[in-house]
Amino acid sequence: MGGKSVTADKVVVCEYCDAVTRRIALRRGERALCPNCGSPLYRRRWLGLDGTLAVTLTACVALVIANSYPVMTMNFAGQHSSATFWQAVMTLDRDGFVEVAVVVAVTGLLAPIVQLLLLLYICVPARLGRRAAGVVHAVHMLDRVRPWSMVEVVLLSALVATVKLAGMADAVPGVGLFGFVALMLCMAVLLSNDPEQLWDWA
Amino acid sequence: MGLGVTMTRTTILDDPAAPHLPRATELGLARCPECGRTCRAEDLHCPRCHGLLVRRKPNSLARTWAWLIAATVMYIPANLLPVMHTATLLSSSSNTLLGGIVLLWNEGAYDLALIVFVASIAVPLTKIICLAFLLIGVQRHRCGNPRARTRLYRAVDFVGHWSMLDVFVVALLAALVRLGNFAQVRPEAGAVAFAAVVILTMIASMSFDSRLIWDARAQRGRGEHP
Repeated sequence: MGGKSVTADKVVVCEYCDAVTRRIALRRGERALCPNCGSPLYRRRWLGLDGTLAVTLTACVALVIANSYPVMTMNFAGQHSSATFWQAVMTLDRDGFVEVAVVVAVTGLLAPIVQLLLLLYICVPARLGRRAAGVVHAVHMLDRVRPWSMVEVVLLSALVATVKLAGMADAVPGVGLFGFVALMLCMAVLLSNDPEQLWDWA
Repeated sequence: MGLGVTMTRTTILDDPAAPHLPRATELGLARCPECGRTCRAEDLHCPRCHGLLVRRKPNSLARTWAWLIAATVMYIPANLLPVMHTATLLSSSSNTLLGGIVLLWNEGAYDLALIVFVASIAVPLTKIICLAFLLIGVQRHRCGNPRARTRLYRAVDFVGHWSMLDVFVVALLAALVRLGNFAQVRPEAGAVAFAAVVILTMIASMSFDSRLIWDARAQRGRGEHP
């Protein structure tokens, strides 16, 4: 890029208050806050391309585990029942609550899948020294999907459900739940990196 | 009284704790809304991601009000209608959001009762009230302590998706408790309304542009809105 982008790289405009500040180098674990309004401006880029790829692939495995095994298992009066996340979605649909089924499927399953696929679409070609077609749209889309991905909420809801059942039956967390824990941790690591770094690879 | 108000205003503007940083509009700069790159204000598109360089979220006030009013309307059935029906051999009952929290509390799970209360009753209501407060402030050009207002907005934006908790709980319980006549859990109409509240408030807080708070303050500083 030309000479104009040099100044553009040196200052940052706050997303929340429009104040302009000079960019500074951050140390490990630091993040820059806007001096005017206190909102986060940018984070330290610590993960790198290889790291991002590794965590994304781990997250993919975790997502498969989370959705292939039951999230919870229950024993009640000698009867045994278990439910995967997808079964929960299908039950909502069968009971006539298609809208809720769609919301649960999108926020708990589809959004994380799309996030991971987009990350792979951006990072794999970049790792091979190439540039994927329409990669700009991929980064934009990743930004739009982020608020709708709610893995951590699924996790807490499983905990609440376990306690709600405790009164009437034995509820045990299943393998799928540990998949969700791993998925949430991977997502947290990916989010702790500076999201703007993706543009270096796009 | 009028003099007192003017005095307060001056103190806020000259608050030494808040450094007076130049704003992007004053320097002829603009932040790309798509990728966050610092661009020149005269550019139409961002040189990095080709996103359209709009200064503020378009029609932010009208849009946020619209989503917020829709959310407020849905908040009523979400709390009045039952979200879940539980049937066992011995009993059968429909529970509203608040009823489910009372049950948790009575079972001695005080911490979880508190979490669910905060996530499903307190957070949506607080969100609606806070966003309305911020919107009214911007519209009346009365945005005292913009720093605190911005923090409030970020908190509202951050906390939003946690309200989805109860929807997932109902989904998991309904899938798990399917033991014919022994025990069965089914979702009920309140769950739809509640999911709608969560989504509508999320979109409402996404449509709000917190820079309007600072615009209102800058206009006041220049005396454009006495």
